[in-house]
This record gives sequence, C-alpha cells and structure tokens, in this order.
Amino acid sequence: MASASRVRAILRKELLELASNRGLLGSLCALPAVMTVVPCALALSYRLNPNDVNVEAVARYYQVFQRGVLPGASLIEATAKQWLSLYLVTPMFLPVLIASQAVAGEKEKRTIEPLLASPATGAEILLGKSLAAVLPATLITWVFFLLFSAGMNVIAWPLLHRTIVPNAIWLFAMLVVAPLLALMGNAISVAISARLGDPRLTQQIAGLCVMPAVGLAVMQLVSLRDLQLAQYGVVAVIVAVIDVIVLAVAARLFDRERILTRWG
Amino acid sequence: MAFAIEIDGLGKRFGDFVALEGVSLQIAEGEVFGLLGPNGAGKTTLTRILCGLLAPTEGQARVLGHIANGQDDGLRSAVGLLTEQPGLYDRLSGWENLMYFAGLYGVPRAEAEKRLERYLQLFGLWEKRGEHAGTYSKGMRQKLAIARALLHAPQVIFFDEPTSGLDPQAARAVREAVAELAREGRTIVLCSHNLDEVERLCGRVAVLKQKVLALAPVSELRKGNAQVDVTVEGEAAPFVELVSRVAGVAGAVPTGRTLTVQIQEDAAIPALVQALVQGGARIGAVVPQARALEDVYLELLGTPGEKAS
Repeated sequence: MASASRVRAILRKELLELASNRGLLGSLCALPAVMTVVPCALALSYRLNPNDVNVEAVARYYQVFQRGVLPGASLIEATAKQWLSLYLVTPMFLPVLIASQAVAGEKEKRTIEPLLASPATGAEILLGKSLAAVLPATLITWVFFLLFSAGMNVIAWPLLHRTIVPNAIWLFAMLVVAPLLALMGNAISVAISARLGDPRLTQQIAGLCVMPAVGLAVMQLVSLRDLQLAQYGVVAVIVAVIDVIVLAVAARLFDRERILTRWG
Repeated sequence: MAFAIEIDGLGKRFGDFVALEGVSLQIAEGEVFGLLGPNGAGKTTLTRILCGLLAPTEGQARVLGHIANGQDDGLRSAVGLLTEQPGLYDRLSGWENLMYFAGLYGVPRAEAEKRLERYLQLFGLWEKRGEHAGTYSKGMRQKLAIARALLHAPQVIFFDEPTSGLDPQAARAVREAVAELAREGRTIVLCSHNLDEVERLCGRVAVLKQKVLALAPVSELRKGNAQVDVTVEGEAAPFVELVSRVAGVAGAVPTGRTLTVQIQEDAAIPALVQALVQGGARIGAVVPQARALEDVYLELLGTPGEKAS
C-alpha cells in the first residue's frame, strides 16, 4: 500500500524543481503556445477580410464554402476544429519532457542513491514522479486550450455571433482523454527512464510513443477522420487500459539494484 | 553483547565479477566500526547491501534484526546512509532538500522542523538554509548530506567516505559530527581510505578486499612488528649486531646516534635496553613507535611501500 505522505513528498519536490527550472518550463509552454498563436493569427486574417476572393478560394479548397455564409467565418470555424486535435498531442508529449528526468535524470545527477536508500517503495516513487509529470502537463494543456478557445471565440464573434469552441465533444476530450493521454506519455517515459541511465535517450525513445497521437491529430487536421463523442469514449477506454498496463510494466521494471549498478 | 549488524558468509557477484566473498563479521550496538579497503574492494557494495539497496548472492546479513535482502523497506527506514556523492538537489534550498527526505522517512512536519534546525545549526548551515544547494561549497554539501542521513534518527548510520575531497576544516567538522553521534550511542560504520580518520574515530576495523583480510581493534592491529627508536651516545652502528641477537628483535637500522629497532612485541623492549647497557651503550632515550595503521593496511593488501589510493 503506497504511503500518501511519501507520494506527496516526492510530488512536492518534483514540482519545486520544475518551478525553478525556467528552461524546462519554457520548453513545456513552447508547443502549446505555437498551437494557440498560429490558429488565432490565421483566424484573425480571415476575419479582417472575410469576403476576400483569396479567402473564398481557400474556403473552397478546404471544402467549407457555404452559400450565404461569409467564407472568412466558415474558415475560422474549420480552423478551430482542425487545430483542436493538436491539443490531444500536447498532454502526451509534455510528460515525456518531464518524466524522462524521473529516474534517468536523478541517476545522471547522482541524486538517485539517497532516494533509493529511503523507505519509499518503487510504486511510491513512480506514482509521485508520474503525478509530477501528468499534473503540469494537463494543466498547461488546459490553460492553453482555454486561451485558444477564448481567442478563437473573440475573433469569431463579430462574424458568427456565437461561441465556436469548445463543444461537448472537445470538453470530454480535454477533461477525460487529455489526462489519460498525459498518463500514457508519462508511464512510457517513466518505464524507459527506469531502465536507461540517459534522460536524452529516454526522451528520444519515449518521443516515438507520441507518434500514434500525432497520427490521430494529423488525420483530423486533414479532415480524413472527425471523431465523435462515442468514438472519443472508446479512445478514452483504450488509453486507460494502455495506461494501466504500462504503469504495471513500469512498476515491474523498477529495480533498485539495476538502477544503481547499471549504466546506459 | 547485542549486535546491530550480523554478517555471515556474505557474497555478492555481478555476473562473473566477484565484489564480495565470504564476508563474516558482527558489529555491536553503539560501536564505531571502520571499513577499510582500496577502491573496488567492495566497501560500497557491502554498505549498499546492509542498507537494503542490493541483495547478496550468498550468505546473509541482519541489520537491527532486518534481513538485508534488498526487499525490506523497514531496513531502509531503520538505517541512515551518507553516500559517497552528497546527491543533493541543486535547484532546491538546503531546507527543502532536508524537508523532502523528512517526508520520505515519515518524520512528522513539526518534529522534522525541530530536527532540521538542530542539524543545520550544528553544521553551521542555518544561515544558508534558504539558499540553493547548488551554491553550497563542497564542505557545506557534505554536511547537508550528513544532516539528511540523520534526520530520521537512525540507530545505525553508514558513512561512505565522509571527508572525501573536503578541506581540512570541513573534514574536521565532519569528524566531530561523527564523534558526537558516537557519543550519543549510535552504531556507526565508517568506510574510508583515510586511515588517520579511521584510527581517530573507530574502535575496530575490518580491512576488506573482496573478503575480510583483517578484523580487529585498531590497537590490536597495530601490535606486533612495532619499532623502537633508541638514541645512544656516539654512533649507533656498532650496536646493530648486539641488538639483533636479542630475543624478539627482528632487525635494527642505525641512523647517526639513533638505532631504529624492529621488535615483534613490546615485551622485547626491556631485554633490548638491558643488552645495550651491558654492551656498553649510554642510552639517551628509548622511544617506542607504535606501528602506523597505514603500514598494517598496506601489509595486509600486499603492497608494502605504496600508499593506499
């Protein structure tokens, strides 16, 4: 049975370290910042000239042109929908940056031995470190998602006179699927981190695991696949099952002796 | 006598590499015990096994009644470990570093704050407690790491090279802290190549090189093959042959007025003095020189004349 106080101690320490690491915080915010600024800038350009022939051409190209609706308005709505999907990549990608430091980083900085010599169990260490990766990743995703939603709505309002994001599907995706994806990205990183002595290698290998989510997002971006609420429900269940499996594997891979005595 | 640590036929292999073999020893409660050995002798491996970090591949060890099999969380709660590297979190303050470990060891917050203040004051770090550990000097880091090892009030504490790389002033402060802990009745295991430190602090020592080469009180180890410097009037050289015939004398080397005599036991000294007087020597001084622990150590390691690294 995990001790809540030990998990809290590990979580608190990890968050303190993260808060003092401006470089890492900057890296964590860079991707979601781009995902917020770029679509808002695009939307703004459509709003400034909603009836422009070039805007209409773009709307026709993306097959969102509707008679009686300003092409700029249609494009703003399409842009919001397409970029939303990238907010599911973020929560999976960000924990990789944090959790790759979990064990391999401590090993590299030679802080691992006092931690392993403490009474904290492998499960407590993994849980504390996982929470410390999942919570900031989810929080950052939500903050930028809110900024994105606010920005798109403010830009779209004069043309559409209604809010365009988030809808019920995206609220579900953000509140349920995003944390589960964050847990998955984290669990994979922690499992790899427990086996490797190099945080950079951990990041690279764990980064490959983001690829399925990137694929899903890209599919949505090119409108090949537009997931509905029920389908997101299925995705959530699948991701939750994968989370449980990967966390169980990570706990089994956590071997004090191996961590202390093997390098690379 | 109650034993804090009991080791019986302990061995540890990493693949084909034998780190420890047939190590057997007992350490009494409240004892300050030295573990000597060159790099790669297995000191750190033995310490890690006794702290519950590694599992032995042969034999067994008990620490405060816990079996050291690498699986016992209770063992890790009961002992304190100062690792060879301080292993501090540079981005956290000294206070935050210690509070983190107080949390891991389940020390209640109010009690932890009292202990933190006590140890930070003791080691002269109180004024610097809010500064990042990354800004601390090497000595300060080592002292903070010692405070971390003591926070949960362990009855058995392992110090792995506690003064390694410290300046003399910091090393002295660390030695004083270890001595203070010994006075409090804690069982202390000190791994070191610093023979002077071991000699000052430890009652008994084990010399380790994969197996235990010697296990005895420091005074016992230094016995035998000691030397006596005898100062005579005039040249000492004419008395070499006379002295060499005395029972218990292993040899003599003259240097000016001084005759350095190797003796097998202290009991040989009166006979040596008597023989010199009967041989016409006018003795100015007889100064017994206890054998340095370093000589014993090098002899046991089979590297006479070389300094242990």
